[in-house]
Amino acid sequence: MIPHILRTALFGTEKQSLDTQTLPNALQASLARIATQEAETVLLQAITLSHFYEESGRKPPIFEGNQNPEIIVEEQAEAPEVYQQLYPSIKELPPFARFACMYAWLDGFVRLGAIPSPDNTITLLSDFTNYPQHIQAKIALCLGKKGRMLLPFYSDFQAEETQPDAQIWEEGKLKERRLVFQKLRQQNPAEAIALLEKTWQTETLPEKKAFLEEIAKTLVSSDIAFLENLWLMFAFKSQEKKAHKEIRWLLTGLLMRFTTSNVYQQLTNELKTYVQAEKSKGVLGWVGKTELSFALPTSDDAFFNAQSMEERWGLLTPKDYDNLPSAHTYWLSNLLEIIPMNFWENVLQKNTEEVVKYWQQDLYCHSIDRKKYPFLQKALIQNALHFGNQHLASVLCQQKDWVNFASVLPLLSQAEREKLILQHKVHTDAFILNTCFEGTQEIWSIHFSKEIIKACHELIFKRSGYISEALIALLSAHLHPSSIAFLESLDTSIGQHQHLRLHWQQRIVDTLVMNSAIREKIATLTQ
Amino acid sequence: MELSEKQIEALAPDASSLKAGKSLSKPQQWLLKQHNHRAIWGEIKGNGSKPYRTQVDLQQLAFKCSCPSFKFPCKHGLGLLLAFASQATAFEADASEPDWVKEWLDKRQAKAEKEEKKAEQTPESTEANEAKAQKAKEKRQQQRLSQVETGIDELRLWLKDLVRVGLLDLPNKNTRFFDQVIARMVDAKATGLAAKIRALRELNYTNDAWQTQALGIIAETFLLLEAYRNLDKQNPVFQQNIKNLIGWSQSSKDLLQDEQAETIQDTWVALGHEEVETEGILTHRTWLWGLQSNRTALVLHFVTPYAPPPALIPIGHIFRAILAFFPAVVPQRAIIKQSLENVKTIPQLPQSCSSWEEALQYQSKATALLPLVSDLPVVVQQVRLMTHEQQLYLCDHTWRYLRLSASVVPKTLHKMFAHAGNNPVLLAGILRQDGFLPLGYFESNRYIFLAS
Repeated sequence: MIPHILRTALFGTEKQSLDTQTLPNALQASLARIATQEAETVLLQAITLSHFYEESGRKPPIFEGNQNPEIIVEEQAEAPEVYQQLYPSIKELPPFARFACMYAWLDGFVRLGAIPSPDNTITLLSDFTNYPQHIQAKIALCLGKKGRMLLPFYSDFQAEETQPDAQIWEEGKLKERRLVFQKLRQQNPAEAIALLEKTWQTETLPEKKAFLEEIAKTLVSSDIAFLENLWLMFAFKSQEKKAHKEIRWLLTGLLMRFTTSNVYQQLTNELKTYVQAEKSKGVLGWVGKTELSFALPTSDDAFFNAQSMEERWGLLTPKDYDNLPSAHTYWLSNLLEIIPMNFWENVLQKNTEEVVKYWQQDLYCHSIDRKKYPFLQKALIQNALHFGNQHLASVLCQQKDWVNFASVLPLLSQAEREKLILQHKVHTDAFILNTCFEGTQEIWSIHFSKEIIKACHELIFKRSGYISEALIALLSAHLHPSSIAFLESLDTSIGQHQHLRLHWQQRIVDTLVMNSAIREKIATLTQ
Repeated sequence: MELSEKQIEALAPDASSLKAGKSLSKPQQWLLKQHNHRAIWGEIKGNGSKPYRTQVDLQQLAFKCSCPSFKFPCKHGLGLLLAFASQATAFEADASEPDWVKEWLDKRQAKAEKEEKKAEQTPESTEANEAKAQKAKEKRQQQRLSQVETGIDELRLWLKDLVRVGLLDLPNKNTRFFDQVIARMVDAKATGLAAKIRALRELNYTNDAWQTQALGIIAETFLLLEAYRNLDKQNPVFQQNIKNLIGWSQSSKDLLQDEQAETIQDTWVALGHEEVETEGILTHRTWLWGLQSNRTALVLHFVTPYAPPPALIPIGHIFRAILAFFPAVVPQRAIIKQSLENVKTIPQLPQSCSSWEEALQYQSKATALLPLVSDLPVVVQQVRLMTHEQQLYLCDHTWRYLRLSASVVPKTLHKMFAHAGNNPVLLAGILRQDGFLPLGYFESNRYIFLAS
């Protein structure tokens, strides 16, 4: 709009009169033909004339972006239409049972080396924010070039960069660089270390810590030289930062996984000095039998003291000792986490079960209301996780209070996990089942699947209970397809209440049958 | 009539109906499912004791269902049509119509024939009756003119007040300020003017562009008032156009009876549609393009919960038909006088503008004939969707672009990008006062519509 007219209109004719002399000649001539003296009418006429004057004959503006674009060509073909058409059926599944199926469907695109159709791309993008992160990541992976270019319009999700890895390593953010490093570690650990060595000096302490955490996930024997070199670099310095100490402790833990490392030798040699022979308890003691034990000092000595722990190994001592009885038990607990189980087996001359029992004896228990609570349990769990010690995990899970050790369940083989669940009769415990199978694509054995189905049936029809959404989600993800017929065959006439029968039929049977049918189609179409 | 799933989806009144319709689209869910050349019908278990009876007229697409839903079409209608589209073989073919289907179809057919006959017949009336009717008509017209003139005077005064005190305070006005005038215009039967003030009320006053946009609306409103004041000096078609813009409605029945009305027989493609709800009435606009005549047409359906439209045109549908156009300076609004046959593929591409500049020249020519003309369908060659600083632009081969209308749904452009990327396409859309509204594009012998 012509500025003078706009200004007059905004302020109003009461405050600002319109000077028609300032308008283009064509408008002046037109306004002159309309003989009127009323200021408001003159302005309204001027507004009208200038509006159509400006609208007519205008030229469209010129695009300021890249006028020589590279035409986007998809490198992958669209998946067959019959495969694309599965999406509406997946969306019909209840949300809690949908994700496993959705993941399998998206995974199918990856296996087919194909991409979703344009219509499905838009639908997936529109639904994007309704999905959990692992599904979002999978969608981003499946989309074609056009879909990935549209993704920023729907979410701030960071799709995997299409830039070369070397460029991301040089210019990317820590999150992106970590992904590059992770990928390279999986392909060639030594090459990843070589890459990290090149930039190590310029990395910040949090970055160094992040890359060491990545190394911990894929530790190999060839890493030892690099880590020992770092160990020297991170030796105690006066006025060192807290992060510096934390990295030293991280390195201690990593180097303890190599029996040939200097750290392992030094630390275990120190600890061996605390092992001593003691008279056995009870009758064996009377006949002069001795037993090896670890004599944890009750006051500071040359090894067990805060300064030594911090300066030599990087272990900081919190004021509350992490709710452990003393500083000494705190240090022991932390050392127990990073020292391999076979060290204790050798020095104490015990097998794994006995070592576990040893660290749970009364001496290492809190006593509350005459009950004993072993406080080194967390250390034992961390030890199993740190070393990926399946045998230790198995021993811990055989204990009476095995539920407290649930976090080590994923270390066990699938058969062991299934056996454990059946043995402890926790078929419908969604927490335990989730801990055992979350994030895996494992399909349960037929026997196990049937046992779980049977337990669910019993819960509903004999104990008038309901099956949680979390449990149905697990059934959707892991149930063996051959157990579906068994599921459908179960008797529902024994149910006393209509709502329970409906719960069984609609929530469980219908959902799982539909889920199974879709997954079967996915499997057939991606073979 | 063969409809694709996408075309059926586009018929859904809202997303929830579509979702519900899809959940009923498996043939096995239907207790009864049959069809013949006239219709599809089925029975499905609902919440009531008896199954719902759903039927779809295939000759003049229409739905009927015994369910209590107010939505149109209801989920059962959509579900039945989707089931038929996906698996027609699951339906019993060439079935004889049960009474409840036959009755409905026959009734519809009889009504259509009656209307056709009525249109053909010249009314036999006595001179006295004619004079009486004429007198009553003149009286009604006089009353209406008087009401509109009162409304126009009030609006003129309101506009003058507005520019006298200035527009700077407009963003701070509450809706009541506008609503009072809108209500007065509705009372004065000047619904076209009410729509203008409604547009002023709905402006996005947080955007700096509101000043120019508000002046644009004021300009169009004032021009309409001036045109009405000088109505007697205009030719009858122009007069009619101005009256329509003010709020006089056009009668489809009168048009069918008017032998002088312009009719065009052509192969029409439904480019796209738009729904606008005003005062409880849903206006369903469908833009058609005649592939031989290169004429465009706008078909309107007015939907209320109690009066569903007689026939809907699915987007992308190609059909031969005779259209009758309402007289206008730039004829746009039309009705389907006679449907002839459905066509599967596009026989020839439409005439198109070579650039945005040519499209704007076409718009300028139309504006010169009738300055208040709006919504002109155009097809433009080699338009590509480009991104620049997180914005999408529709560029022609000269790298010029048109601003997008505020009514563009971003998903429309995303769909275009997902299909065509940055490849140039033969784009169809609507030129509006506030920018361009893309509807779809032609690709060899098919039309890809972008509305979701």
